[in-house]
Amino acid sequence: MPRLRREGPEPDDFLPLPRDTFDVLVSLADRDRHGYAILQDIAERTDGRIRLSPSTLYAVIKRLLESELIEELSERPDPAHDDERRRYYRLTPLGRRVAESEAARLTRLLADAKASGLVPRRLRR
Amino acid sequence: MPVTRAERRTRRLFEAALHLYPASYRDEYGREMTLVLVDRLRGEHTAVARVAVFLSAMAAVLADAPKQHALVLARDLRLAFRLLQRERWFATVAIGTVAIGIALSTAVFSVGKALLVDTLPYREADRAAMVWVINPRQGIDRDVTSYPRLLAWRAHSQLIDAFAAYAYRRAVLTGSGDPEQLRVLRATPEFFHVVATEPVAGRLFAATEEQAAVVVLSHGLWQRKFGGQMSAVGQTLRLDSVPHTIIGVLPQSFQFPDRDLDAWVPLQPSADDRSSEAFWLETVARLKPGVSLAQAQQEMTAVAARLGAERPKDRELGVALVGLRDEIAAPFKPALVMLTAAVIGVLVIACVNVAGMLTARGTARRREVAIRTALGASRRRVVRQLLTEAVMLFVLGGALGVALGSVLLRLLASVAPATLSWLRDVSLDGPMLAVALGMSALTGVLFGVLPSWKAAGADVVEVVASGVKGAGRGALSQRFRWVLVVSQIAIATMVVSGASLSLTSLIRAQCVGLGFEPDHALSARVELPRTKYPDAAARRECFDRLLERMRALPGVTGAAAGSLVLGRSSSSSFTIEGRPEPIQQPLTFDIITPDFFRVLQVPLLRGRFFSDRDRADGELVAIINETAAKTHWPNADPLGKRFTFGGDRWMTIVGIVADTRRAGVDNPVRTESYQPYTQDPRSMTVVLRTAGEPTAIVPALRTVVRELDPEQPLARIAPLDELIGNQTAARRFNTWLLAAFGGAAIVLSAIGLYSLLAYLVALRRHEMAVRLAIGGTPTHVLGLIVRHVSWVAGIGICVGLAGSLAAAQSMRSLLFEIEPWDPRSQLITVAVLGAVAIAAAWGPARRAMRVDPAGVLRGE
Repeated sequence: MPRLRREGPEPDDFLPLPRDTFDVLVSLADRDRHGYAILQDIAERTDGRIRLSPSTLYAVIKRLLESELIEELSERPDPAHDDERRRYYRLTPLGRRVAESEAARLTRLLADAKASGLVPRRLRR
Repeated sequence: MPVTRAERRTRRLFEAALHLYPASYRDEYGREMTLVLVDRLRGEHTAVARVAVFLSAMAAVLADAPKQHALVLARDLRLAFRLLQRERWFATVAIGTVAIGIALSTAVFSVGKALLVDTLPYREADRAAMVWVINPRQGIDRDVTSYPRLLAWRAHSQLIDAFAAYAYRRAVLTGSGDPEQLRVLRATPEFFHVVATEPVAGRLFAATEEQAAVVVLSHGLWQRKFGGQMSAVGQTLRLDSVPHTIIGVLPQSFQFPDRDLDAWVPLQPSADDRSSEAFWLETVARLKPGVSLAQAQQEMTAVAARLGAERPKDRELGVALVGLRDEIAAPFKPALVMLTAAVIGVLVIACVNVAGMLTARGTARRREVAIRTALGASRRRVVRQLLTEAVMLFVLGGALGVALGSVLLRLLASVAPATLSWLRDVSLDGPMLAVALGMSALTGVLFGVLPSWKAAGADVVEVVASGVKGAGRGALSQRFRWVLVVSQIAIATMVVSGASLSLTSLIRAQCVGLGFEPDHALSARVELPRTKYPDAAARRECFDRLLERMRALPGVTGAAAGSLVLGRSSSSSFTIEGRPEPIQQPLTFDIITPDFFRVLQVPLLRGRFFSDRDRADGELVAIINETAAKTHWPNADPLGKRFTFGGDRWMTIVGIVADTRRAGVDNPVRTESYQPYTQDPRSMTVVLRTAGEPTAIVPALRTVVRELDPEQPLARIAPLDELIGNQTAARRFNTWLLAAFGGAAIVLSAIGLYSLLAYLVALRRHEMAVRLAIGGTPTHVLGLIVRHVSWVAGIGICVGLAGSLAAAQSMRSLLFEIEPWDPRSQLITVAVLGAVAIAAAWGPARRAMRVDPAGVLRGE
C-alpha cells in the first residue's frame, strides 16, 4: 500500500538553521545574487567578521538547492554589467518562509534572553 | 581586469585542489568556486592578506571535500539499499551466496592453517629438518638411527649446524600428589637449539648437560603442578623416583615432536646405548644459515655412502632429510589438500553464482543505464552508483559470512576429535578472510559493473529499442551463463564425489570387523620404573599380583595384559627355520599373558593358546595370526614350525589366531606374532572384561593398584570401544567436513541452475507464448526446459566426473578399501546431482508451462 505523503515540507522542518545557511538566505532576501555577491553582502552585514570560503559557500548553496529553498536563475538579472559565466540564485517561496520562521525564532529567543536580563544594556533597544 | 601571473598560478593550484571533490560536485560548482576565490583575492590589497585568503580557502577545501564524498556515498547507499529492497530475492540470494562462500572457506582454511602452519612456533623453522635413515633392508624409508651413527653424522657433516637426537620415554611422577604417568622426551642437549625455541621461565639444556638430572617442563605440566608459578624453576621433580631439578618451562605453543609431551630430560645415554647398533633415536638437524635443504641432502647422501663403505652395518643405508614443516604436515596433508580443494571449489561456485546473477541483472539494467546516461548522468557517476550497489552486496554478504564463519568454526571445534580439542582456540584466519572477501568483491566489481559500463557507452536508442528480447546482446551473455552453470555443476560434482567417496570409506571403516570384542572392556597402561623394579622377576611378580587382584574385583569377568592392546606393535624382519634368507616383510611381536585372547575374545583357529607352562624356561613358543600363517606358510601347516627374530632364540608356533584390527580399523592387517609373558615386561597394557559398564570399576581398579604400590599410576584408562572410536575420529571429522562442503556445493549450484533457468524462462516467455498460441502444448514447453537442463547437467556432471577421477589419485590415501573410481560412490554422486538439477528446474518449468499466451502477447 502506498504511504500517505504530505504536500511538501513545512518551514519548521528546517529549523534551527545553521548560521551560514541563514546568512545566505538573508542575503538573497532583498535581491538575487551570484556567489561572490552573497559573500560580499555577508561580509558587509557582519562588518567583515564573517567571510565564507568558496568551499563553505557552495556547500551551503548545494544544500539549499537540493532542499529547494533557493533556485538557480535561468537568466542573469543585469546582463550588461556582469560576467556571463556567473550563476545567480534566488529565494524560493519556501525559502522565504523558512528564513522568516528562523528570524521569528531568533526574535523569540532574544526576547526571552532580554526578559531574563541576559542581554547587555547597550544592546537593548 | 588583466590576469597576473600570480593570479594564474593561484588559480591553477586551487583548481588542482578541487580534484579532491567528487567529480559531479566539481563539475557543478568548481568553476564558480574558482571565480569567487579570484574575486576575493582581488578584493584584498596586500600580499599578506591575499596569501591568508588563499590558505584559508585551501584549508576549507580539505575540510569540505571528504564531507561531499560522504554525502554522495550516503546517497548512493540509500539508492542501492532501495534497489536491493525492491529486488529482495536477488539481494537475499546474492548476499547468502557470498556469505556461505566466505564462511565455509575461511572457517575451514583457519582450521587447516592451525593444523599445518601454526604447529611450528619455532624461529626459522625452514632451517630445521628431520634426518631419517633409509633402510631398504627393512623396507622402511624413514627409520630411526643409532647413537654411533649420530656421532658419525656429526663428525662428517659440514653444512649442518647441529644434530639433536631424542627418544620417547614414560616416567612416573611421584612426590607431588597422586602418582602420575608422564610422557617424557629424552633429548641430546642440542635439541632446543635445533628447534630454536626459548623458555618462558628459567633456561634450557646446557651443552654439558647430556647426563644431568635436570628437567624442562611443558607449559601444561607447569600449570597443572605448579599453578604457573615462576618459583617452580629450581624445585625438584621425582621422575621414576630419581630427583630432577626443574631448570625451565617451555611456551604453550611448543609441541615438538608432538603435542602431549609433559617434560624434556637430557638423553643420558648409557654405555650400552653409546655402543649399541640398535636403531632407537629420532634425529632433527639445523642447517647452517644459507644452506638449502637440497645442499644438505646432497652432503648427507655422500656421508651415508662413506659410512656404508666404512661400516658393514651401514651398507645399503641412505639418509633422507625432510623439512620440519613437511614432516609435521605430512599426516594431515592428503586430508587438507582435499579440503582446500573443496574450499576453493565451493568459493568458486559461490563466485560463479554471483557472477551469473550479476550478469543477468546487468543485462536487464542496460536499458536503465543507457537512459540515465542519455539524460546526462556521467558514465563515471552511473558506474559509481553500480559499484556502490555491488560493494554493498559484498559488504553485507561479507559481514554475514564472517559471522557465519565464526559460528561454523565453533561448530567444527565441537565436532572435532578429542586430539584436536585445541581447535577451540582457533579464530578466523585474517589473510584467508581477506582473500575470500577480495575474491568475491572482485567478482562483484567485474560482473556487476562491466556490463553496465558497456551499456553506459552504448547507443541509447538501440538499447531501448531492442527491449527485453535484445537483453541478451544477449546471445553472448546467455552463452556465458551456460558456461558458468556447466562449470558450476562440474565443480559441484567433484566436491560431491569426494564427499561420497569419503562417506563410503567411513561407513566401511565403521562396519569393518575388528576381530575382537570391544564392548564391556576396559584398558589401562601400567609402567614399572626400572629404578624401582630393577629385575625382570620383580616386574613379572608385580604384574602377576596385579592381574590376580583385578580378576578378584566384583564385576570383572577376566583380566589379561599385553605389551600393546590397541595401536602399532613393534616389528622386525625374521628368519624361518630351514630358509636361507631372512624374511624382510616385518613381523610384529607382542608379549601377552595366557588369557589375552580369551579376554579380548579373539577366536583360536588352530593349535592352542599359551598356558602357565609356557612361562618356564623350556621351549620358546609363539602364536601367529591368520595373515602371517597365510603369507609365510601358504602351503604348509605352520604349527610346529620355528622362527627367530635373531640369534638362537628359535620359537615354535603353537597356535594360530584370527586376524584383528588392533592397529586401527584404517590400517591393513599386518603379519603378527605373540610370545608368552616370559620376557621382560616393563610396561604392559591391562585389559579387563567387565559384566557391566566398564568405567564403573575404575575407582576399584585404582584402589587395587594403590594397595599394591602407592607410587604406581595407571595411565590412559579408557573403555576399548571409546579408544576405537578415537581411532576413526579423524576420518569422521574429515568426512563431516567434506559432507558439509558437498552440501554447500549442492545448494549453491542448485541456486545457480535455478536462477539461470528462471532467467531463461523469463527471457523466452514470448517465444513460449507464441509456441502455445500456435498449438504447442505445455508438454512441448516442458520438453524445451528438460532439454536445456539435461544438456547443462549432463555436460557438467560428465566434466565433473572426469575431473574427480583425475584428482582421485591424490585422494587414495584417504580412502578405506575402496578405489577412487568406486562405482557405487560415483553413482550416488550422479544421482544426487541429477536430483538437484531436476529440483532446481521444477519451479521455472512449472512457470513456463503456465505461461498465458494471450496475456503475454497482449503485453507485447
